[in-house]
Amino acid sequence: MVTAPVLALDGLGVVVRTATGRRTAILRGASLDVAEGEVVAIIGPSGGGKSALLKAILGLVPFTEGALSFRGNAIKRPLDATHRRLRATAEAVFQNPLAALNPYGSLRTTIAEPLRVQRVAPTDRDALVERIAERMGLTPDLLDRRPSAVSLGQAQRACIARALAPKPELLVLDEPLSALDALVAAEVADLLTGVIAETRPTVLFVSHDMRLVRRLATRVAVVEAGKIVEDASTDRLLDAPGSAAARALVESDRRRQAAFAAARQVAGTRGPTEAIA
Amino acid sequence: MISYALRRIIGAVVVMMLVSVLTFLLLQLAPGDAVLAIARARYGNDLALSPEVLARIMDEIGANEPFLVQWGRWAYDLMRLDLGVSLINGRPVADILVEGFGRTLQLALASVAIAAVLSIPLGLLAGVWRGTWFDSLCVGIATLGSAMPNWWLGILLIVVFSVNLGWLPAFGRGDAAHLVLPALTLGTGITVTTARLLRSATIEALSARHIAAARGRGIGETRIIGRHAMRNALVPVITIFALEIAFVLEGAVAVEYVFGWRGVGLMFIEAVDARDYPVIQAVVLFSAILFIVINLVVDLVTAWIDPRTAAGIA
Repeated sequence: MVTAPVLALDGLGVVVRTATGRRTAILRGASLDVAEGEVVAIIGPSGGGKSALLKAILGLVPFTEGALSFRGNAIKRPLDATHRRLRATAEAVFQNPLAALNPYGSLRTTIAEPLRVQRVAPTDRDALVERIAERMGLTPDLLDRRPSAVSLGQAQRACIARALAPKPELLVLDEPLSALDALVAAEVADLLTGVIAETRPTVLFVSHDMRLVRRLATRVAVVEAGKIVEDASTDRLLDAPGSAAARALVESDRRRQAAFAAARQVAGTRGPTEAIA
Repeated sequence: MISYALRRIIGAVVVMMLVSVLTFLLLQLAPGDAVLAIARARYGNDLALSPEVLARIMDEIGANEPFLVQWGRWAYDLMRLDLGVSLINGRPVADILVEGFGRTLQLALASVAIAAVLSIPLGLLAGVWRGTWFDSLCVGIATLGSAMPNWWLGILLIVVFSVNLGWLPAFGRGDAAHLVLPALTLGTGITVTTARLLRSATIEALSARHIAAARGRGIGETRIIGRHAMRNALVPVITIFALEIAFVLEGAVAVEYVFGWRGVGLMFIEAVDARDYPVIQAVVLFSAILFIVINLVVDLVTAWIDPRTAAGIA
């Protein structure tokens, strides 16, 4: 028996009306399966539809064609009962942690929220929050602060802790490192990689960072001009990209790595640049 | 937070001291002959011109003494919480103030309760259901209510409920029924201001990006409104609500007048009319101190809710 994928996209499309009243398709005919325990990366040029894909899955923009399905149950219309169940059991980490956090809540309250929604008993909840926060390197002192009183990296680690605490059936990450500076991003990447290896959630994530893609993803989908143009295992796609978009991304990343390697040689150090590259 | 609170409290005390000095000065410099006014208030116009009476009154209020001596005596008495006696009826000013304030407080509490019960759900729901018929209705009523002077609304209510329907007493104090119309009049005024403000604060709070993020994380709409939007929207509203309370506590003069409610406001008008200096000074000083204290409390509460205020970075 083949178990149904956690998430399946079947010809998903999003058409939006622009400010001038013109109808534009920002996503067309996207089909993709995410099986239990898989970590799927979505890469592609900016403005290609990666974020639209995630937003349509999370119901933040209504999809206008095709369908989604969650554990074999079809989601025919945006935000129908099945879609709401998907949202309730999925967790997300967004690009900018300060925009994603309620400025009036302490990190502790923030991380505890999904557990509160799940009606986890208070004592278990507190213990769970402390444990996941510690894993993400957040000290109890930091937990009592509000987002404005912690660093961007600490805020993003709180977002990751919040997303992982309720053991989501699907974890969605939308460029989780791109708002962070290089050193902090490297540190958060390490924590994220570690915690995903330990808890093995099903993950769908968007990233421009090929290093993170290589470390995390089991599969990669390439989105360009509103379409999924390639979908393959991470090794195959990064070593032998088929589509022009994938080739361009892999090539530019290779040049970047080479530039860092050269910089390292010139500096004669394996200091911070090691973390960056 | 604690150092911020201390700084604010010390600042408030300094302002209060300045206010007490200004209160004294303003009244000394005010136009109009106090002695004549008092004489008229006490004895009527006929006797007022008798020189013996005028001399006696001058002695009584110390108007012959040098300015600094008058001031020094006033400040000394003030520190002993001795506010003097009314020049008109000889009652201690402190008693008059406590009595008037008690009545105003009764009215203020009732109207603030009405305003809180009405404005919070109305403003919040109008903001949540922005653009619906409910929102339009609320905005319409609020605009109408803001454009309407509250004493006029008071007269309107008297005409409808006392004169035509005969349900409630038109004026005076007594049982709870007397409180209904004036409290409703004042409460409506506070409600329309607060509800409008809360509506826009709710719209702003709901458009924050962390709300969209929370929706994406599958947080239910009830929780989003109750936990994330409502609290954030209430922060700016607290300040305005508290200031409204301060205004009512200082005596909503017109409304007290319309309903014959002898609170601080009406007392103040009577005292000004009679040039009853000790009462005027006491009411002005008391109002100023009340205002400063309420402002201080609001700032401390705001700082507690949003520490960025105290840090000066918000």
